[in-house]
Amino acid sequence: MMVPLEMQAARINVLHHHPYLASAVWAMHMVPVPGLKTMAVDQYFRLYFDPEIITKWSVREVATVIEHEVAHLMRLHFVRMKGCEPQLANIAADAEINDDMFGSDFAFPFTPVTPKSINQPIGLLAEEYYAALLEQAQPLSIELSGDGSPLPGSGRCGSCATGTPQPWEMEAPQGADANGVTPAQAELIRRDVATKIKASTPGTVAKSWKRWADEVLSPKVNWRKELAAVVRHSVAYVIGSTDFSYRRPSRRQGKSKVILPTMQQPTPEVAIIIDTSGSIDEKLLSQSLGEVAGILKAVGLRNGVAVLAVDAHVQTTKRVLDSRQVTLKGGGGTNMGVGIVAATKLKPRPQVVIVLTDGFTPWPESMPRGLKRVIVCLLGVSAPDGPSWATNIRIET
Amino acid sequence: MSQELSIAMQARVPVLLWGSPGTGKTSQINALSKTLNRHVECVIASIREPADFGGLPVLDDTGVYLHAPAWAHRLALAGDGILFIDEISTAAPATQAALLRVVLDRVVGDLVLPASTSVVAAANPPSEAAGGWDLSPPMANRFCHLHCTLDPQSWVDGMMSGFSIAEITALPIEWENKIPESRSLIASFIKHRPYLLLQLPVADAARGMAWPSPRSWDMAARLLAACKAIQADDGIIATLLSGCVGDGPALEFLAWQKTLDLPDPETLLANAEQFKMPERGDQAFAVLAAVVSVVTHKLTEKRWKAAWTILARAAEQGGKDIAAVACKTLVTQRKGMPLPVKELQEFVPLLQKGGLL
Repeated sequence: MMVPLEMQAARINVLHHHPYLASAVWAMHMVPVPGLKTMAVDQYFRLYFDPEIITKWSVREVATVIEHEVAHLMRLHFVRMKGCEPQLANIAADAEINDDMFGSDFAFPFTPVTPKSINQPIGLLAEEYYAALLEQAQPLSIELSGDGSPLPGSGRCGSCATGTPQPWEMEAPQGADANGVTPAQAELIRRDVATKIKASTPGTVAKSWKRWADEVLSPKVNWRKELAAVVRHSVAYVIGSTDFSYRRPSRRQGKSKVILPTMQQPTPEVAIIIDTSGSIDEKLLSQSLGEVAGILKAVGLRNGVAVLAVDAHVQTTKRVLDSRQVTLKGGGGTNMGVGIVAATKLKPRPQVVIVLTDGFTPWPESMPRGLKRVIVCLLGVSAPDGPSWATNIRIET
Repeated sequence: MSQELSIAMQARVPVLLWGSPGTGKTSQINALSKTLNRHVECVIASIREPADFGGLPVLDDTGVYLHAPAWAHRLALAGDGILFIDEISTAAPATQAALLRVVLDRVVGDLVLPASTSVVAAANPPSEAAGGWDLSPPMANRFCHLHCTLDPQSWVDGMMSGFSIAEITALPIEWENKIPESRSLIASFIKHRPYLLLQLPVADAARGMAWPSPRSWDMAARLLAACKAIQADDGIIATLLSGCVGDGPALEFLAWQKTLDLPDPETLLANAEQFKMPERGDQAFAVLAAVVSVVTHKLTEKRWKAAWTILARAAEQGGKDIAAVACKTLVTQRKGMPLPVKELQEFVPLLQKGGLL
């Protein structure tokens, strides 16, 4: 099939402005749909266009629409928004993309959806815009044409933005010679685009594309997930010193001649040290304390944990079962080392110590004797690194 | 999902199914074993102790033997049975340690299970399991990790009209002949990216998942061979390889393999008249970009002309826009070469319309 001259020109125009999109733009499969009146893209990189409309739009307009739709595909909106109400999902996804698609480089054939047009701040994710749209009683100050035809960039982009197939779209590609890009191929294209963005000269790539590429190539681990894994490991590391014991007969003893051991598991003791000095961010502190308490409950510590409120001295020590029982006292200088040493003197003696702090504190030279593992949760972006003998986790909002 | 599972089971690569409780991991195994007509033994790891997998020490006239429990004997008798280890992530760390040999070497106590036994394990994600542990990295490295995803639509269909058992493609008997080929493919990939041979997971959250090591690359080679033997599609290959060595390394391998499939630019230049453009636009672009890059790297009049011939052929075959972008690069890096008026004329209107001139 010959691609119309306008479409050819639009594609090379996109690449003239943004060469890093090459593999995504060329992977698109062109499907002419006479009478569609506009353009739309599905989740398999198939671009449906009305051969008549693209002669009416300028090359820059067609190119802007192509680039907008590529952004949907690259940001996986069709996966992220699947199952949401399609129209709102599409508007939310458009708002995420369009917040920095303006200026002389871009020209939409319709009025594009922007965060401003839905009364939202810029720089949020589609999911956040979607939640906000659901809350707004009368969400739409944008005009959407009543006949259901697509409005690329303005709330109707086809299934690339919502994951919900539209009436004019073809079936999912099946087999090797089907038209369209399979999810596995799409993933390779996505990585290729991200790698090209990383290799581009700084300043030639739009900020949102750069952020996107960073996220694709080195995904950030959510601190909640990391914190949960570390606490689970530390507790398992202690519980895991499962040993054989002959103090009680084995349940398998029976009449066998071999004396079998039983298994015993020491229950770990955990102490939490909370930095109550004046500089601490209370919201982050209560969030992370809640997380720690939840994780400890989930791994089966039913006897509660010792909680120490520490500034320059230990202010309070209390055994709690629930994070709501914690009282925070203090406000002076900071020394977490005092807290850790105090924790080693508790009865029963903890093996695992979790410290919640902003990091502006002296630390002991090495791990105090008797402890098996120390986890330091550093609250806030500006927190300095914790000691090397502890496991450090950065907690940021 | 069941395609990937059946390929891994037939290739005798240990599989670990991750999925929330109640998403049908166990029923999938049972259905598969019925279709494949193989005996299945289900062992729940969380209620076992290390001796159940390491063997029970029993005194005999000659010494102490490590006796295997009955399920292992039944598997040994069955020949090509399936060992299904359920709830592996809630087993205590000591029990998990005892499982290491069972999973990869199929050894239970003093009993060696037949080589044709498949090992499948299932686990709930640690964040969802009550009292769950993350798998230790050595254990995680012995499995191909598959994630059970739930598709509400197909579940609704299944509830209304009965769950259909997916068609299973049986591996041909001689599939193992493909192993040397896929091994050498992976070996030459590692030669280019040696740092991907071994990457112990650093983040705690990633420790219980797939990561690249010589062992997991070896499993990846087996699965790649099995996939090639039945011409499985890209998606299945990507899922299985990611399950062995992790998403990043697997995707990097697939991307590298894709560039291997492209024709060599030097060969194309030598036979410029016969140039045939790849069907997919992104591949065509990659080929033309490669041609332009080798020509500008070593510029002679002959190669310069050949490059223009290739661009003209590409334009004739419906790739005018793709060739136009390559043509622009070629022109800007010509270093004093004469511009071929006839070939260039072909692209000028398009370049003008696209705003490149």
